[in-house]
Amino acid sequence: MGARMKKKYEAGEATKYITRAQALKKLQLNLKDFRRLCILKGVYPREPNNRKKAQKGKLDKKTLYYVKDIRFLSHEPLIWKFRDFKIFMRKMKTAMEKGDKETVARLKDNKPSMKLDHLVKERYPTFLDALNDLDDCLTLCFFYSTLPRDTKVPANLISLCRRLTVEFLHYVIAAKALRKVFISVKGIYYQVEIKGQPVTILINHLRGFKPTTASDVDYRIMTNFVDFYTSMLGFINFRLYHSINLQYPPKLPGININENATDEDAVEEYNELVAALNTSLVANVPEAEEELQIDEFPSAEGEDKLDEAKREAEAIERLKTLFKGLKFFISREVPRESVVFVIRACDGEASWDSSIFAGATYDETDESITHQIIDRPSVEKQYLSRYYIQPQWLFDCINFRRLLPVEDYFIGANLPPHISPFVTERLGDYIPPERQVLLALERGETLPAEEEEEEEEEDEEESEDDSSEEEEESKPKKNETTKSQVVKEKKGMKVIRGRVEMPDIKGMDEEEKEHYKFRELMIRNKDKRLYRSMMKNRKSREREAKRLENKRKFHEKEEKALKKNTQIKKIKKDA
Amino acid sequence: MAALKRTLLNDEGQIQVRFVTKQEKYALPEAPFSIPSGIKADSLSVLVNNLLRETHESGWDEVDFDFLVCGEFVRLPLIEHLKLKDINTEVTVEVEYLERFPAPEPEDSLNHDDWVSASHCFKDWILTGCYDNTLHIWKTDGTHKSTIPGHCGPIKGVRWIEVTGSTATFASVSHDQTVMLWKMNLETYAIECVHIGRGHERSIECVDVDKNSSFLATGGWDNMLKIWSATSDSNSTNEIDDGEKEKGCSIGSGKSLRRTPLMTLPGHKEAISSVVWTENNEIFSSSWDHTIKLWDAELGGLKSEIVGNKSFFCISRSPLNQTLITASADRHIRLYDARSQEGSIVKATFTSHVGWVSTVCWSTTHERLFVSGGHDNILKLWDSRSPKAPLYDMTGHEGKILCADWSNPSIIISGATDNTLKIFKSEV
Repeated sequence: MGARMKKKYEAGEATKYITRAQALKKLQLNLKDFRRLCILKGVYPREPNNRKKAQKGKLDKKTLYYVKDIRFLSHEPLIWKFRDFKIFMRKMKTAMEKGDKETVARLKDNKPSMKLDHLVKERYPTFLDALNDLDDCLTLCFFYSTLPRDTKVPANLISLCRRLTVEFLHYVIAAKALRKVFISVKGIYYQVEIKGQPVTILINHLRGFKPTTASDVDYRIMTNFVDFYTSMLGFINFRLYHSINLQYPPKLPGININENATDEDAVEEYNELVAALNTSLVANVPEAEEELQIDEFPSAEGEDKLDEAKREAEAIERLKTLFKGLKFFISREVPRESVVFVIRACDGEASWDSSIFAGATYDETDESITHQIIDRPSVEKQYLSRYYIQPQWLFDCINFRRLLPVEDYFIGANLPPHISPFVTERLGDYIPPERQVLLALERGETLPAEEEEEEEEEDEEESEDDSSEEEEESKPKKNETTKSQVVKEKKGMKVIRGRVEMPDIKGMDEEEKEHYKFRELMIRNKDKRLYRSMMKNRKSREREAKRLENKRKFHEKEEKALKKNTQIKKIKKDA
Repeated sequence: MAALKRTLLNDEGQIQVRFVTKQEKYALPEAPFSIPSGIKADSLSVLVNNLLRETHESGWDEVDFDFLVCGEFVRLPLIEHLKLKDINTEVTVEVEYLERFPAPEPEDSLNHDDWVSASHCFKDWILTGCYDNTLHIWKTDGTHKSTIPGHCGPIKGVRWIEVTGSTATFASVSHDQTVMLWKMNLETYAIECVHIGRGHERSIECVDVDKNSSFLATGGWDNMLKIWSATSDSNSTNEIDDGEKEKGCSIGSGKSLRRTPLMTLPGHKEAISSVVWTENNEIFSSSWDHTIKLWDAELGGLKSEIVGNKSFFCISRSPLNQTLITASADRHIRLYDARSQEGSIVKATFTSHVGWVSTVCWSTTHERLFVSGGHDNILKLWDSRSPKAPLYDMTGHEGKILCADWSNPSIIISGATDNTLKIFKSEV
């Protein structure tokens, strides 16, 4: 009995977790401050493998944190700032209740403030780590920038978010980093490529009305996140701007503004100009970096991958100057910011009516405008030298990575469906015909060049006469040849023309199916359940895909019938 | 979307072609034509005929044309053929056309008493060997000239050696492990066996004569390739007595009747199925051990080897272009070019037979034509530029084809297990 008896819950998982109440007690913080600290430091509650063991035998559902995480939190100097703030609030309260205005003023001047820079450096040691978390950061910041001023969020936070997000958009325009766009109910999804990393942002639609004041939206928690994200975004913007040799904070060339000016209107006006996204922050666009030629490695395998990569690189190069040389004019009813951003990100020029917003570069009457973006059912005055199109054309062009024919997007036209570029179809999924066209394009089935088309047309006319003659004559002759496949015959011996042997597809299919069934039987019992559920899911997806296909066919049939009817009606009317 | 689709998707489209020919009497102007891409060879033939009819105002007879694109006959719709050959369909495609080789005509069927396992033709003499131990001599018009007993086992190979003046010599090999050299008087049809060659330890499968008619090469189930002298010393002659045939092989009393091989070349691991002499005193031998060996007959050594995947049943060498075709235990006929430095030695694979291919034979006058017979009872005539489909199928046999020969350019003969030898007339 020399060795100590092992007691339960002394080692292993029991010692790994700590409940929230215990953590609060250890850190001597109240719940609000603890929550804030966890958000800022990136500490989250964990789900144990065995709850009974982790909670030392008790089975109620408690929030558990890692003991190591809490120990890590306890060394954070921000805790002292929380406590300072608590003391400050206490003093303010007593001073205000006493009516002591001098003390109140003095306290306000010396309000304790927190800086979160060290947190950013601690949580993201390398730039790539920060890029991984950039999705959520940007989405929240964009959301905050669109909040109206009277929500329970401090107003300067909202304007700070606006400034930072606009700077980020300017970076995307200057670096030509936009890759995919998709308009959805929630907002507009953009995918941007930074240093090879795809970053997907959601920018919500700007609605004219207030968001619902549902009581379950906790702005305080979100504001904690945004506090951290704004510092992070500031750092990231700085790094991004310096990577393309732009000055940060951005200055519009040709406009000098003293930021310390007391004239708030001037500062506001400057900010508006920047937010217009219309002028480039770079006076001289850095002329082409040498075109990097992709190395060709002769490799036996992986040739498809090489080809794919090459095609992808070429498509992206095309995308970067997609709207080059095109001048757009944006009508009033079109949501300006997203459209301007998308146009500028692909090297186009945009402008709008100068009475709506600052920063318009040219007027509606400018003759060199090539496209006008309209979202209303009809337009009275039409210029001949420009196309009047709906805004979906821009987004579809970016997703297809080529300039689509404008005819489908005219005013009043029935727009083709807006296909999402973010969907990767699994085996058996329904692929709508428009997406099939996109995939075919990506695989590299190239468009015939316009010149070739003209030549082909001319030749077609010439050979039409020949072919019509042939058809008449070949028909009777064809019948003869089929009979005389047997060329010669005598004494039971025949000479027949040789035929190409068609591979027996049906027979081969059945054989393959049999082989597959044998292999299925040989799956281990352990894996059988997984295999069965996998095949079931696959089949249900295929069924769904078939259902959608039939629905589409039915819809197209109906449309055709409708078209015919309207045409017949028209003819009857005319007659 | 409709506008985009229309510009993108290439429907039935057209292809530009230019017709070229090596036969001047069928020359056409070299202007390009635009034809639908799914066109087949018959429609192309009709088109060319119409064009030629226009240029020759005087009556024009319909001629069957065959079309070559990139060295291969067009047997599929044109667009698929181009896709297979990886030819860019957007430039003008050069299509060579030529008059189709006319179909061989069935001529005659010669009946035997048992399976016809060997046949060889020389001018208008046909020599056949049968499983009932007899040799037969026929004329190409179908008349039976002579039956020659003498062997004790089924005959597996026969060869004409020489026909000078009024005497002809030929050789036969059989399961009874002997090579018999025969002499025949062409007027009296008197036949005598001049030599019996013993040396093989098991049955002999094949025999071939060299180009100077002085040597024979035989191969058999004892895996040995033996070279014999083909000249006969006409000193002692012994006539074979018919009566003695049943007792057993008659051994002539004269010493000069018996012959031993000049050279024995070991090396193969399995039975030798076929031997072929070349002009430079080399021998190709194919065997069931999946190899074809090239021997030097003067020095008596192995020169080189071609290894395959399946047992070889028969090889034939073209005197015109020195390529070999082989019949194997799978249904494909392969064309080998042993001299080629680049790419694989197998230049083309011809697939159309349904069963094993038992025999192949090159044409002696056409560089690209050969015949093949297989266990599916069909004799096929191929052009080496058309690997997917033969030019003609000659049906009529009711049993597996065991031997085929085209040494006489005007007739193709084939012997099968239905006891018949069928003769087809072909264009020279």
